Amino acid sequence: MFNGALPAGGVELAHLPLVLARALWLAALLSTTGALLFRAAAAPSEAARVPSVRAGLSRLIVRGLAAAAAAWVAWVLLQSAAIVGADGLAEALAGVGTVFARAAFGHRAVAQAVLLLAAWAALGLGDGRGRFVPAGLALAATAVQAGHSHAWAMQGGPGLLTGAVLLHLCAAAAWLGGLLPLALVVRHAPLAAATATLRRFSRVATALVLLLAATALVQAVALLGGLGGLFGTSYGWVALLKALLFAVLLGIAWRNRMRLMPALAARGGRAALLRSIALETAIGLLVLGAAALLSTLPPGMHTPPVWPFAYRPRLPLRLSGIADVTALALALALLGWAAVGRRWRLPALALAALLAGGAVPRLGGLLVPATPTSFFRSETGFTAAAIMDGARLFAARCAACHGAAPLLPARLAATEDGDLFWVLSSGTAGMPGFAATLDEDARWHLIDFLRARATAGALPVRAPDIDLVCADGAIQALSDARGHDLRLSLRAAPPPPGGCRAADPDAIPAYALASGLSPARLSVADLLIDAAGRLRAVVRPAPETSIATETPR
Amino acid sequence: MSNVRRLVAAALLLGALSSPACAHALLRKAIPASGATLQAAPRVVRLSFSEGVEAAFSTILVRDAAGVRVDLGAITAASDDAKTISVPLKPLAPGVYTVEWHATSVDAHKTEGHFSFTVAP
Ligand code: HEC
Repeated sequence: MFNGALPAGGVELAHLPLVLARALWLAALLSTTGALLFRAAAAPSEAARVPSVRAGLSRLIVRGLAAAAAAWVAWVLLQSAAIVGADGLAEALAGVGTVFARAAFGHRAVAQAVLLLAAWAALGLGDGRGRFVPAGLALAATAVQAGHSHAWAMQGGPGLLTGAVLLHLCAAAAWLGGLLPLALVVRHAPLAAATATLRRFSRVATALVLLLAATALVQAVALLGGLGGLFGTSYGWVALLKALLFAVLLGIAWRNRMRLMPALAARGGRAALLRSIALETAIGLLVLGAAALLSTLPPGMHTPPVWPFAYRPRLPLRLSGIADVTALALALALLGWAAVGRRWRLPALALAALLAGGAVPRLGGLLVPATPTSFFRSETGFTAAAIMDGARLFAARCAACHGAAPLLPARLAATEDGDLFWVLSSGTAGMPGFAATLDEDARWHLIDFLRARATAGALPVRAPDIDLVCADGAIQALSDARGHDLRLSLRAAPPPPGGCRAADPDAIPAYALASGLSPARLSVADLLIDAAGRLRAVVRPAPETSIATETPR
Repeated sequence: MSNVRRLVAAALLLGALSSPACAHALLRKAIPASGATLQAAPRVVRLSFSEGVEAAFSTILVRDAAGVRVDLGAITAASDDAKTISVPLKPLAPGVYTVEWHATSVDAHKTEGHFSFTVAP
């Protein structure tokens, strides 16, 4: 089942203080924001007018702001030390100034501090509309936290993903940050008032939880790097843990609403609900810890994932496969019902057995054998240089055997890059592994060569990427023009005014290899490359284009 | 016996696989490309990363075969693309050049790497 591989992209021990400081900052920021929002929204209610609730809320907010200030200092210090590469406190303190002046991280951290200070100054604005001012300022500080995310860094600015992170942060603040104020109400308010507040909180929380789940899904799709990233990287496992903790939170919230709230009037009812809210808060803190860890780990999509299982799903999933998996999930749900339900237990059991009996024998076909590197992706960009390096390596290291045992194109086409990488690294029956004798780049270059050679003979083929030199001396990659149809000449000639030419000595041999056409023909012809980066046709040169030019579509 | 050897080899290989550099801003594209041979001397080295980078806290050092710096030092961020930085070069003679880079992503993680390219005579 497992192949013994550890997930890629582990946590570095040296980063642990930074993760901890970030988690504490996040916890203080979100809970203070949530408490301010709670105070602003609940002000007109009867519960909020109870003196001990009011006093408790004020204390909670002031302490939260103090905790946020302390955590901010620790986080900014550690993060600045990491940015400037400081050893020791003196260097870190000196680095803070530079980071504030010149790094985007510093600008955002200062903005957050200013917003929280303003919130603190506005605390006394009274019970009227003014109470929304500090809440709004703290919410803005929480929103700025999205600027510290992978999402912002990857998108280079605002976008759908950053928007999802922002909503996720604000929803988490309103929900988790509302728990301690809720506990105050449960503890001190009269029964009717407490029940009314609980009802209202639970309605709002339902919406917030849906928002949290939806925005989490957007982030998972964008950052996890698919199935490989989910199970093959530390980032994926921490994300799984976070999802699991979130599910536990939902379970507790559901129990609070359905079981403990109706029993509030009974003896010990309040104590039971208070205990449950305390547990919910503790698990909420763990979720924030997992979130801080995630933002310090490289996202799954940027880590070569080490697949930990001996099998992987056959991708893409076929319809019958999806039906089988659904049937199995349904069977499990029915089994769950049979275990805890009150009625229809026997029919549920029978139906579960029927569904499972139909689906289980066919599950084998959904899985294919996997290797630890099944989900590795080539980073070479399929450049002419990589392909020709692979060609030289193949002649020197592989041709002796593979002259006699040719590699079948059909079999190559059916094998994923990641699995080819594993075969080349660890060997197969009759072939040694090359992990010790060829570095990773060399192995990927060999794979590019094998892929290019396997397609020769029938256009269209994937066009090898090459560098172009333009008239102003700038160098551009062919792949920069992806999305446009191109007419490309490989002829050696100085770039004409405003144009570019291929500046890659590997260009002609690589195109010859990938297309099966002779170098002599390629060096006088024009190549038509489509918007998806495929070589579609080789045509007689148009007299006016001795260059790579865009042709209007 | 050979089975045991294969298992040990696979375990060693896994060890090598499961400790990749903890990287955030990964080099997505370099121009000139790693290992490229150029027929004309480039005037700049341009690096594009998977995440936005802080130009003020990143460096690109370009050296000739004798180890002498040939870059002009001032890193600039592309005006329209926060993930790309570049450094201008002195006029290059034919030869092999190495590029050593250190990048700080805007989510404040550091990465580094190096590669070389050749200017053909
Ligand atoms: C000692 C001889 C030998 C050398 C050297 C050698 N191979 Fe192989 N290779 C084999 C044999 C034998 C097979 C198994 C053929 C089969 O299963 O049909 C094989 C299989 C393969 C496969 C197919 C694996 C699969 O299951 O689809 C690939 C790809 C491959 N070799 C690539 C290479 C490359 C690239 C090199 C050079 C780095 C190389 N080989 C060097 C002997 C060799």
